[in-house]
Amino acid sequence: MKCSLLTLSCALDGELSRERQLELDAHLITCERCKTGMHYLREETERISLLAPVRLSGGTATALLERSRVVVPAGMPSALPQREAGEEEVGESLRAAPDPFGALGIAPAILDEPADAEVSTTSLADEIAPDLEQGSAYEAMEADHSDLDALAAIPEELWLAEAPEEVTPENVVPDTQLAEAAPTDIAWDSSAALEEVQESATGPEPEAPSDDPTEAEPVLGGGDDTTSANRPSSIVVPGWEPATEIKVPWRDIPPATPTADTWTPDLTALPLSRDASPLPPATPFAASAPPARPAAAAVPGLQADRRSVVVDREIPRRSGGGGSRRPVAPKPGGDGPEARSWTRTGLIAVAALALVLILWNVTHGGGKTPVSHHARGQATPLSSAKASPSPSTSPSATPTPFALTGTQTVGSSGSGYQLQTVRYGVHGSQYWVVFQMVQGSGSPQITCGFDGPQTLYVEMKGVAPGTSVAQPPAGAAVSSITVGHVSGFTGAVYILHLTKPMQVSPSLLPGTESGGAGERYVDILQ
Amino acid sequence: MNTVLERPQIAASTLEDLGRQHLDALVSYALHLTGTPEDAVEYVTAGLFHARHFPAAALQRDGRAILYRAVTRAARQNQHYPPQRRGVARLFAKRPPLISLGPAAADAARINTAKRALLATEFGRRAALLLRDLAKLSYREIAVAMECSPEAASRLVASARREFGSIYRDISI
Repeated sequence: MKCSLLTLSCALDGELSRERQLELDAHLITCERCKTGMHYLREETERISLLAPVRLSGGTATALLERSRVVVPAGMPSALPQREAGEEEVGESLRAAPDPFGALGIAPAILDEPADAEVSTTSLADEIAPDLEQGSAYEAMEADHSDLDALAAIPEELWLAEAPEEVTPENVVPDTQLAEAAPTDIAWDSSAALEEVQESATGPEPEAPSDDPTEAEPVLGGGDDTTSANRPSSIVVPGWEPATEIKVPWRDIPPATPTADTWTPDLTALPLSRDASPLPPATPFAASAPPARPAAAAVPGLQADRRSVVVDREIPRRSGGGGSRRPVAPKPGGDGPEARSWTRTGLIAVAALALVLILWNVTHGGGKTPVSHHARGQATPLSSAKASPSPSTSPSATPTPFALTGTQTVGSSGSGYQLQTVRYGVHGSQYWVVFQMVQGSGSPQITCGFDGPQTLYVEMKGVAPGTSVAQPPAGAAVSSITVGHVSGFTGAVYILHLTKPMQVSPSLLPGTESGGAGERYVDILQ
Repeated sequence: MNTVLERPQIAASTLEDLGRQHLDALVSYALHLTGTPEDAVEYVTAGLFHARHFPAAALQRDGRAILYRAVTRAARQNQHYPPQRRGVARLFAKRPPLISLGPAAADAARINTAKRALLATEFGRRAALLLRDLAKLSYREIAVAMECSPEAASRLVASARREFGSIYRDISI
């Protein structure tokens, strides 16, 4: 016997056959290496088994089961929709039968659905489980794993060998079990299914249906319980049980050729029609008063069963009435936490956007954004003044008062002033520009502001401009001065052109130099 | 005419019985598999939620193994339940309160040398080791839980024991 960790591990777990166990016991007597290995394996097994277990209280266990929807909390409505009045008349045995269409990915149709409606791929669970709104994403993800049901229907010898967890040389399924079992089982299954279908197709014509749903009628997967019980599970379509009943005319089922590994009848291709259906013919309704659900009304006993499925493509399109669609169970998720979450997210986003806009407006001056004429290629006040030195000249393109920067205002509501003279003088490091105003009352409102670093606008309200304004001496801080009425300004505007960027401090001084009545406006530049 | 099966309800009783019977073991397994009680609770919840869609026949045939399979798959694929939001929505999503496992879970979650060695092993081997030595599943049940063949399960358990022992002896010095 070869020394093998796998053998020792299996022996430790009691998974060896009796003969192999006897061989190993004999081997362990002489092999010190295996004896040591078995000792180590026992130690490691003991360490794992000594890990602390968790004991849940009853409340915690119930809460966990309720959260996983295994247990419906007390007071919560069932996941299934409530029956409508009259639905109790439908046989309970039929209601308890499985859903082969759902298992095959075919959505159940409602009798009054328009004939040209496409077959929806919405699963039945989406309609009958309105309490799954929180797990919708999870279920959508799990929808891709719908092969679980199919796995359960495949013989263990096959699906256990599929997809080992670790693709290693150890885990590669080397057994001939798969190669041997698969063809025989599946071949038997397929041929059996084919024979059954062909036998049914050539069978007697189906009789008119009776009210008793358990009466003999060609059914798939039902009728012969012994056959179904002996049939390997690989032939059973996932979701079908032996009691499954599909009451469709067997003569319309073509002898489908089963695939190699599964037998999935293509029910969508069946030429099912009302004429060939064992169901009774449609009741001739009066054309003037079509029923609310004509197709459902055509089949007595089915009208109340909203989950009944009939694949009938020859149902005529409803002529009027707004074209009602399949009744969908109301989803409480519309007002659930999901919707509230989105509403809250939207409100927060809108509030954040409004806050950003307000901050942008505040930080950028709220409309007082400086606009440079030079940047726009417009004429500067200086050039306009040079072109037309008349005091009444209005520059064609001038800044508005709101476009000036560093505006400062002195005075309030004085009026009746006349500009007498403008004087310039140096006081230490400061350069003063003094506007002497006379014959007025109160304090005139004077606003100054920069249009560019070297252009100072001075607007005087209630002060009539002088006929002539003295120009500054050469070499001073102010190179020139222009006066006039500028559009956008209500008062007379004096434009001072500076030789360098400077700061201005305006102030009003009462009286004149000689002490008479008047006001002196001083721009202190430094 | 055919009718539909209210399969979730039919399977629910079996699943509820199974879940109540093995819930402690499932949580213990998930706790030692993930290392944190919060993840353990969410993976067990996800597994049970997932198991609601299993056929009743599979539940009756495989029993607890299929529950371990659901929990293992949830842990392997990082499927929390309730599902975790992604993107910006996770900042605004309201999470339900966590289910506290109590002080017993805190004791079980305490790290020791064996747990450190266990968490250092590869996920599949760790799961196989826990399924065998903690949950006491047979190789056949481990095969169901790990979605592999029984032979692969036996190899997985043996290699897991070897790796765990090696790591344990390394870090216990």
